[in-house]
Amino acid sequence: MTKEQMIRDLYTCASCGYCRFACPINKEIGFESASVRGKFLIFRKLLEGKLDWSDDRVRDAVYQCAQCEACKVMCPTGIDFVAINQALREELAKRGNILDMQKAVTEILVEKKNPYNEPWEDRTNWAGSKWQNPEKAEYLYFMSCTAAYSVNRIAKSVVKICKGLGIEFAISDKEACCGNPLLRIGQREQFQGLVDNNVKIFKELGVKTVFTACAGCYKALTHDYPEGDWEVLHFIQLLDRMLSEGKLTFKKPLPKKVIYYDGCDIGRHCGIYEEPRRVLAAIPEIELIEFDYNREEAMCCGGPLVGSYPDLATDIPVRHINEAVEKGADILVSACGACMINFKEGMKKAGKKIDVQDLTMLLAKQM
Amino acid sequence: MLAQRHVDNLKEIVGEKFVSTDEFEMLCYSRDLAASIPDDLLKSYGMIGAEAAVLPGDTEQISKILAYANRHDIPITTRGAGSWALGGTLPMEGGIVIDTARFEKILEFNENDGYIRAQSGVEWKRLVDLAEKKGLVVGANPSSGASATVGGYISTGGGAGIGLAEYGSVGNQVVSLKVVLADGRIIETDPWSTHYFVGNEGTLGIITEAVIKVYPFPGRKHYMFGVDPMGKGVELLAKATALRPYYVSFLNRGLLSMINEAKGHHTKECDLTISLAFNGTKKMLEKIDGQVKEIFAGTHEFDEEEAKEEWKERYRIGLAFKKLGPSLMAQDFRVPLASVKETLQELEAICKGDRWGAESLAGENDSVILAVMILADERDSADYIRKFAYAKDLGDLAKRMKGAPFGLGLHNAIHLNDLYEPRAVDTLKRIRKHFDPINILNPSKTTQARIPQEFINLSMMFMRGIPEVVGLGLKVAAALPSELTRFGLRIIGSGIK
Repeated sequence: MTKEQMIRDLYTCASCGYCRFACPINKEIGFESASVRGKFLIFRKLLEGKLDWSDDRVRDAVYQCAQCEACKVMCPTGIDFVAINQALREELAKRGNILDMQKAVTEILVEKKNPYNEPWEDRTNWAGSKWQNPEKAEYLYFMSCTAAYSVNRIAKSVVKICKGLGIEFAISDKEACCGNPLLRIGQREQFQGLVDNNVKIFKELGVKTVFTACAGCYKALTHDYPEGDWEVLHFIQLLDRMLSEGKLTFKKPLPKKVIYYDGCDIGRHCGIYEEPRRVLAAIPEIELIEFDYNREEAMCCGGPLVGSYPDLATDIPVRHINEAVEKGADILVSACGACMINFKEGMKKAGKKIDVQDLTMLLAKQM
Repeated sequence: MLAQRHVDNLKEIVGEKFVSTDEFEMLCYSRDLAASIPDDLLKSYGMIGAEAAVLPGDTEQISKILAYANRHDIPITTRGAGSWALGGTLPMEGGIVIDTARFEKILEFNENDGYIRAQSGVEWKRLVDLAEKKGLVVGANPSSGASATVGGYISTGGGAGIGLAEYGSVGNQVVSLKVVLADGRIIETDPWSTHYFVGNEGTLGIITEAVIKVYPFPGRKHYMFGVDPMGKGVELLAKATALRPYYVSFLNRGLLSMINEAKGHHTKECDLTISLAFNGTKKMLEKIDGQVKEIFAGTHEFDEEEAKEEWKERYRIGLAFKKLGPSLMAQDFRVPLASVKETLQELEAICKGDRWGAESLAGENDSVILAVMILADERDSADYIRKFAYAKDLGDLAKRMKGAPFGLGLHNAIHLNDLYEPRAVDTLKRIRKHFDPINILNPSKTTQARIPQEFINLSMMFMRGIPEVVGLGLKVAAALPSELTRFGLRIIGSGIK
């Protein structure tokens, strides 16, 4: 996005404030400068040279955004705030005005190719010794850093479900982080390094389908990677296909009230709303309920801010926890690892308990 | 700049986290929906701008803030979503902006007695959405409901929007209000005192809670018709309005053409595109269906899915084309339904040469609120200033059509004497003085015209004729020390506090 396009968009903003009520950050902070329209006034002055790029308040105005796109959905003038925000991030990153935490994460990701500061070579440790790198593969399971290093049960659940469905797939120990965290910081050059690494794997293996159970990876692979001879699927799309073909059934009933949360990466960014609901609804005795605002209008949980403004990030899901509990939900399920982790933190702040589960793990248990 | 001791006291009342004097924040709170009004113009108005922004968490905190401000003569500007284009929330006299963002709770849905109790910072869209999920319908609600707040709409009179043709204006829908008066007293209004606070634009007190009527919601049917020529469209609009639809709105050809261009749509363009929605039982809707079809026989009927889509877009449709500007000159005014045809004809002549469009919403008593929007580009200073002169042209047009500018705020305060008889103006001023003797609540608005009408009229003439010179003049005025500008404005009879 050029500077001229950005300035035109900033002048297009009507200051109607529709973004204000959709934005999780603004709802939490409350002040106008945290709203998109407020930020636009600040960005106008920045791009017109009346503010300094090195000002910490400029940096916070840019990075205190979950890039959840709720504002884009609500904006009557059709402004893509996230595109503007991303362009400003890339400029700030070039100028070095990013948070210390973001600098540290960048270094770790470049060196170890995961944000958890774990050795790259340990990426497939969760799978045990029987896994070997194949030379060719039709299906590749793109594990994600979270499933590979932090919540191995997600990866193990994928294995269990695929075994049950007879899906044969490969994993690669050359897999690197999809790069989504780097892109969110604005480090496009470093992001490109990870993209090149992963695309090389896809090509070498000759894969026809890359699937992942991580919403962030799925978004990056479908939105920010070059197109190739492979199809990219979220795992839930694959399961939904199996369900429609009559291949997927669940044996164990789940006589519980389950509330599904539309994470922003899988939802607003990628438009996957119905597949998780259809697959969940196939579990015997399950009672699916909804947040007041769901699908396109779902409110972001603040998860993307965990690595930059953790305190703010964990304040946001208190609203979600309260609503889910008030609605009598037994289980809050999300298809996004970041949402799941943030909901668990939000529970502590809300002082309320609800069983928060990852979608893939929940489905594996019911097979 | 607000004295530090005042800031410290505010922090004492609401907590440090909820008070800001940061310059970025003050920039944001010195603007509202009409963000495209040039800085130079506001400076020429002698605007001081926000000196502190506060996010109180409950009514008692607002009470303490007002009691304090009243003792120390600090101006207070209350802000809901700042989604009104008349400068109603611009802190002309500086002081404290009270943002009601934390008043976001819907406290009670009472299905049996038919009311909702909500805090004043709740946005109408949420109120309407959640009520409908419970099988209830809200009467009057604003077309800017995705941000307009309960307190904001009630304070600005709620005389235009959705639901008005069926239920009347928001004043008819409010059962009671919780209000903080200028001296900090908290009152709960009764049916007799409620009306003081409907449409007073934050000059008599701050609304913190409202009890609003709701009705059973048995079902809804949507329609959209394209009608040519315009005169026939207006005639059919009047007939359809007589059926008391919940939603009635039209777009003229100019507006729909701009929406189509901006969104890449190909919606059939007619002189008037009329949208309707009726609430009722299946039986009632069947009866209405027959009447609607009879009225609009021979016109282009869009299928119901398209009509529903327009309904879903009701909050957004009026700004969907703004990127073509990227700025807009907009003016809302009320005209009797009987004058709509003539008004639209005159608009063609007035706006000739510029790209413009109009949409309507139902007003009270068979009136129509017309929102006229003219594309502009504020980055082209001379052209933008020239288009400012439309404010006078459209205001004059409204008067000729026996209508009136819609709302007062900052910009329309000059029309006060056109809207009310001298005795009524005097009464309004006395009421204001009674509720707020030292004039801390939203000063320089409504009954306190910032600049006398004669000067505005004169400046509008110059804006139309010699916009470059006016632009230069505004720059010079903006460069003057604020106190000098304000002194000059006082001499010419400004309502500066």
